[in-house]
Amino acid sequence: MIRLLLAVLGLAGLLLLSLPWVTISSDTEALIVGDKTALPSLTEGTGLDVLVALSHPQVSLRNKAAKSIANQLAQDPLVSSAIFSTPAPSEEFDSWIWENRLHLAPPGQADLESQQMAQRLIEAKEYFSDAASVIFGDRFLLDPTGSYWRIIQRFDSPRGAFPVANGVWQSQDNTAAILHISLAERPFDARELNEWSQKLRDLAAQENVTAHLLGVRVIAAQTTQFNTLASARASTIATVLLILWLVWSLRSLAVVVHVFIPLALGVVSAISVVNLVFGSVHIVALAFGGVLLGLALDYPIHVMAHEGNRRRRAHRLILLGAATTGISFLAMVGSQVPALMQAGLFILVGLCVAALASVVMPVPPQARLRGITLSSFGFYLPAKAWIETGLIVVGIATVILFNRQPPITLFEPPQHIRTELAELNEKLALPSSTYAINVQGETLEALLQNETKLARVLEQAIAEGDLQSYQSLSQWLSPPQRLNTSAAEFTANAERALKQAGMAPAFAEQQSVAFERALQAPGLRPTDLARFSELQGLARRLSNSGLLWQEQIELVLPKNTSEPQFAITTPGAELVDLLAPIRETMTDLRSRVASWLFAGLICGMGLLAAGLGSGRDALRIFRTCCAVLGGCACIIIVVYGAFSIFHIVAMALVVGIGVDYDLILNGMKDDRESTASAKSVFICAGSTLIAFLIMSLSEVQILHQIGMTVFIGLILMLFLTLAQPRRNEHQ
Amino acid sequence: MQAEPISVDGLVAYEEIIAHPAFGTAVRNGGVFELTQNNSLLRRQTTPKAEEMTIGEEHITIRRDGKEITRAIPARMSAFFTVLQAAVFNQGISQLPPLPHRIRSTSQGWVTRISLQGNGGGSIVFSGCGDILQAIDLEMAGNQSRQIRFLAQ
Repeated sequence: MIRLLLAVLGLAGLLLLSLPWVTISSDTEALIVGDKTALPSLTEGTGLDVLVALSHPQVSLRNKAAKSIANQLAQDPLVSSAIFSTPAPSEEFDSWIWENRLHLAPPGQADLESQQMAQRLIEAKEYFSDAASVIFGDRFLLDPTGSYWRIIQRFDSPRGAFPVANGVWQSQDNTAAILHISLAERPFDARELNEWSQKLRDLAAQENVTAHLLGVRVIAAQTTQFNTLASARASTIATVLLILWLVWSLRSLAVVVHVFIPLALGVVSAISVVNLVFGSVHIVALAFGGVLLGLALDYPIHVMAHEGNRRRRAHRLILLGAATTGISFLAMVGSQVPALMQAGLFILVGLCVAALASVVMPVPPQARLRGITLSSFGFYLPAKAWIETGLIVVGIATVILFNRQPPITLFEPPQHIRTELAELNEKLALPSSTYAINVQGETLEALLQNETKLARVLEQAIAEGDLQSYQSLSQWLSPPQRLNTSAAEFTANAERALKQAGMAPAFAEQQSVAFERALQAPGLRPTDLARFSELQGLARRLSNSGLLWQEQIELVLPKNTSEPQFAITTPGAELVDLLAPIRETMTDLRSRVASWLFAGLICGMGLLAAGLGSGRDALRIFRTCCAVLGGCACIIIVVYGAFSIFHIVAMALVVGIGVDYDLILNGMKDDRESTASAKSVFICAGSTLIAFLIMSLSEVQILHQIGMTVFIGLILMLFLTLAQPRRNEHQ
Repeated sequence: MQAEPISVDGLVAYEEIIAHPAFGTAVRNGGVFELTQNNSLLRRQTTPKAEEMTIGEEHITIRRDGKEITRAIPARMSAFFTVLQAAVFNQGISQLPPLPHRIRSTSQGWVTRISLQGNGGGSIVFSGCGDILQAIDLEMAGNQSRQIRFLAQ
């Protein structure tokens, strides 16, 4: 008892020592091999944006709330900026637009003729009865070509922008005021973000409006919080039930504590080693660490079930089983995916340490097992080998014929968040996150020409109801045109135009000076995209590689439409699936996990054959394991439609558990005291079924998938392990 | 000094005279200023065309022919709108932000000028008689001016 107490205290000390320098990481880049640019980022660009819809039927009330909340958020250290409408252009940008007007909205030849210019001047003078003339009137008069007027018109009615009421953005359905928040660049901290979100919701409640938040970081934080709470709930329930089960089976709380020590040592060692080797422990490696729960808890139970020589034999089988499973998982290192490499090392270290601890630790004297002798459920299954082979074939055929692409979200937001997002998306009519159109051109001019052609297709789609709106550069920037008018010709035409409009011809001199200056302006250059914050939205869509200009045109699809119903045949333009890179990543991840785990399984079986000194026995176990995998594959594809990496890892766990049970049940059955082995397997199977059944009921997809797969696999494994090919063996 | 335009029933009538070197004759607009419930200045123009403009802190909202347009006030014009909003209702010229100015007496009353930086060398000229603010004149580069005369109605 004293030894046990010392072991517990030592373990607690080890935990306390190791915790401060362990770093838990949830970096998505650790799940990718190669180019990581296609993944959404939590730390830069749109990853820092948050849209807030403040709902209230009364426009004035929600607008007042939006302004008040924006002012308060401006003081928040987590917020870089909070705005409720397009801010006034800076002096510099305002001047840039004016100076570059002939490039941004070039005049046609007719716009440079005196008749057309006179018409523009008359309109410009009339415009002085408009209050806004104090802002633009003088420039409309100075530019009789109409270029500046066209730019202002485009700014006045931007496509796809939020409508504005009394200086505040409104949702498309006119039920909410909109705030745009840019979060400060800080490391992602789910708890900090959730507290900030709650503070924002409270602020909104004080203003009598309801806040709905939309942003990558906010969703990630909410999902993390939900998953953490749900995982903690599932773990607590599973632990309580597990302890009750073990207390009943082992008849002593002290023995139950003893059973948990190897598992705890395994987890602490695994975390320490992975942290030492990789510098941090990825959350996926920790999730896969659940594998330890299914296996490491069993080792001390198997040890205490046997005595004398049988215990030494059990030690050997436990170490062999741990090494077989550990080697199988270690093969994931070959995948070169950092998080999976960590998971492989985590499981190997955890299992080996737990197995060693179980073997080395003295068995408590009061250890006595209560339970049913599992072998009494043994039954005769004729042609077992053929049935197992059949299951393998059916499993392979099902995977080849029916397996679909894996789900693209590793940590999918829970249902209530997805529902809120769908409602918000409808309210705001945001661009599709699935489809966009990439347009390219060797020069900016070529890009704009291609976009102008594409615009005809898109306008047609809008007219036919296949598209709600789109945003592209060509909506406010026209393809450059060569101006064939000299300064002298312009002056002469301007003078004539002023006369025709009944205005002062002397003003032509000022117009000419302004015209000549505008001719010298360089137009839009790649550096301008970074220079002006007003072009930030454009800069996100537009890129220049030096050889090629490319814009990603955002599409707002009609309600209840998931993909564009129109064809894109314009040169230089192609419809792109924005989720394709993520889908490819997940498919790649899945095939890497599957292939390396299978390679590991073969290595593990080689080790098993060497350890047992019998290739035939190892092959028999291998066949049974593959049959279980085949059966699991069929059920998973019927239920879920596709394998996720968590299904695959859980199946590998089933194999590990199956190897252990087979080794203990069949490796000890020629002994007269084999009922003790069968009892220990019964207790272990019971504890594993309880833990993974609780996990399978969780709303967290990872836990659910692992729990359900292990539960199904374990039932199949027990069925096939208890089935005996010869009639006299099952008694 | 407190100087305010004449207000009748909370309304200040005005005439705006816009001179520009391109024009042969000045453009004239007329209407009333009104202070809204949320303390925004509302310019309700009646001639030559009916329109309403609400001046907010950073935006102006214009309603004309059944359409509403909200525009951000560019930096080069923000001083003018700030001054207009402060001077027309209740705040008085003396409550404007401290800007270098000098009051000059004329035969009809007084005149004071505030030079605006970053506005192409423009300035705002206030003129009045006693405690009555009679006009605000925005003088801009290139011989343009925009005078708002407050009327006794």
